[in-house]
Amino acid sequence: MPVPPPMRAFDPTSHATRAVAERAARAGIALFSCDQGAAIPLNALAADADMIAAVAPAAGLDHPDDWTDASGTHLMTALDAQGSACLVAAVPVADGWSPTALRSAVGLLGEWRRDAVRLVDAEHTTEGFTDQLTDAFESVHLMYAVGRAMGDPRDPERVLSSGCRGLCDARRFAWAAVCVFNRPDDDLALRGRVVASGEPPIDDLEIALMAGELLRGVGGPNAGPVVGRFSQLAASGNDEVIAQPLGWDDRIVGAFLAGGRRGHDPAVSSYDTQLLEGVGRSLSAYLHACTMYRAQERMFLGTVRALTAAIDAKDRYTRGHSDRVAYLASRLAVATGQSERLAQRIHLAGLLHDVGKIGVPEAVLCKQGRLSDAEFELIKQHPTIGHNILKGITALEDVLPGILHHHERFDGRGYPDKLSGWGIPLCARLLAVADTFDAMSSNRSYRAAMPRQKVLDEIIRSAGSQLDPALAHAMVKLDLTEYDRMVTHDRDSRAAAA
Amino acid sequence: MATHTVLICDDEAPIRRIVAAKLMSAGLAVIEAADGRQGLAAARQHKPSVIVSDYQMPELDGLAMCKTLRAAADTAQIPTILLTARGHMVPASDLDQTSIVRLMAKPFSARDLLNAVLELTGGSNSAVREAA
Repeated sequence: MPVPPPMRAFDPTSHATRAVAERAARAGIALFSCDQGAAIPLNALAADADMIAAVAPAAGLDHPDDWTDASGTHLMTALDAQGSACLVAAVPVADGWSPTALRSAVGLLGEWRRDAVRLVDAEHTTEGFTDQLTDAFESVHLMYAVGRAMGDPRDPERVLSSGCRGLCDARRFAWAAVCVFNRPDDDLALRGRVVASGEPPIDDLEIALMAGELLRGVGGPNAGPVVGRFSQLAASGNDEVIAQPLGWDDRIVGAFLAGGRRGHDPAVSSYDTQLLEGVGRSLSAYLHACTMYRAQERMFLGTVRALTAAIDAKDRYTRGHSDRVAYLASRLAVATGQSERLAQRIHLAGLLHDVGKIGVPEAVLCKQGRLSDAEFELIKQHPTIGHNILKGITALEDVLPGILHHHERFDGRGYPDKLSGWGIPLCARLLAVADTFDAMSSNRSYRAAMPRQKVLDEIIRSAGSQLDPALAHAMVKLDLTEYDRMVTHDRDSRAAAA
Repeated sequence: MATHTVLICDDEAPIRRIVAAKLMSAGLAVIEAADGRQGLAAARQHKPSVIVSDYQMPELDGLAMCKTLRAAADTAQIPTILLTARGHMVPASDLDQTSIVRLMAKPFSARDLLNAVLELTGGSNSAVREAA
């Protein structure tokens, strides 16, 4: 059952009333708005002095139906009435109207006017729906966007920033921020950072302090949002701030906050708290994932370094060799058009390429002077041994071929599998160039380091036979400043240790 | 089976429309009121089984309306759901003076509201045919 249209006094300026007054005029009918003794003309015909005088007495009546004025010159009837107010239609008798005809015409005008009022109400309701739907879409869009962004743990700042911006857009806050608390025992992603969007009237430090204060006394990360007021924000017009705790298990690691809404209805409502809590929980899960990803990466790299340190411990001549090969191979990759991402994987392969030397007896590995054939065979095992050591680790799947084949030769006379040309995996071809370059540039147990120019000439000489020709030619064009710095550093630290 | 009647009282027409559509699709009869004063009149006249009301409205707010209804013998027993974006502003002591049995926050799930109403009318979702 619908609600009756809201009580409306006959506002002469309302669209429905003005429109019906104009229609009445076209039909030759004057229209007045009457309330408590006053008769207001609504169209040109009503502005006639005689007409006004005639209608004046009617204005005092409750329901002036079928009123004929005392002089008999004008006919009047009510078009619509609400309470003490009414619309009165009037015509000069001289125009030839009969009371029946007038009543009939006015009846139609009244229906028309009521339809017009219903239309205005419907439009008003539609506007309300439009606003509500727009707001709902913004909130849904924010949840979608955060959900999508959460797939990548490598750029947390971007995800948090878009979450803040989305909240400002969806709920018209002037500013929003994510603050990750800076506790020294935590290994959090973005520890100590404040990521903000919009125009906060306070700086990052104040935001962090505000967050800390708002969340004091909150039981845990699963609590809902907290609302507070801060006097230092009064100058900007709205001192309310809402904050959702972020965290996991029983730790609160930070806060998601917003404030500064201006304009219509600025007070915080459950539209805000529900959205903030929903997005906040997603951001908590995301930060948790980022933190675990960081920890996992760190542990992984730590393990890799432990392995390479184990090799360096056995053969002091190769200290720093894996790092330098990793550096050269990854820069060579970029110089020959590979992506930064691939270069990072090549770097990893470089760090691990000699892991297999752990399986070679020290006496052979560190022997001064020439190796016998049998001893050389043992050394030649190291790519296969390295491959076997690492092959169970899925995270290293893509770098295993490089490690296994880094001693293959372009002309097919290498080991272990006698691969040739571009049948040798790219990673292995890159490592081969870098490995050869660094080996020639370093002191070894069996010979001293070669001068730079001789090394470069040797690389070119090996193009097509031992090494991939394109990579060899790119190698001699590389900027070796950083490489030389690494060499000097390693030499100095070796001297200091001696 | 007699059809239950629900009164929805909210100054926002979109909210009234959404609630009415959902409840009617479940076979309930719905009366609408646009403010607390209209709500009082409608409740006294129609004696609905359940009232769903907003808090902040012109003329008379939902809380005042509910207190008045509770004070009169013939409307004191009508269970009411307060559907509001300002639930955190309603003092608990005031709720005791009303027949408000539940607070629901906006934005709300119309489905959740229907279930809450059905709980109060003694019906269940499976017993009432609901349009998809």
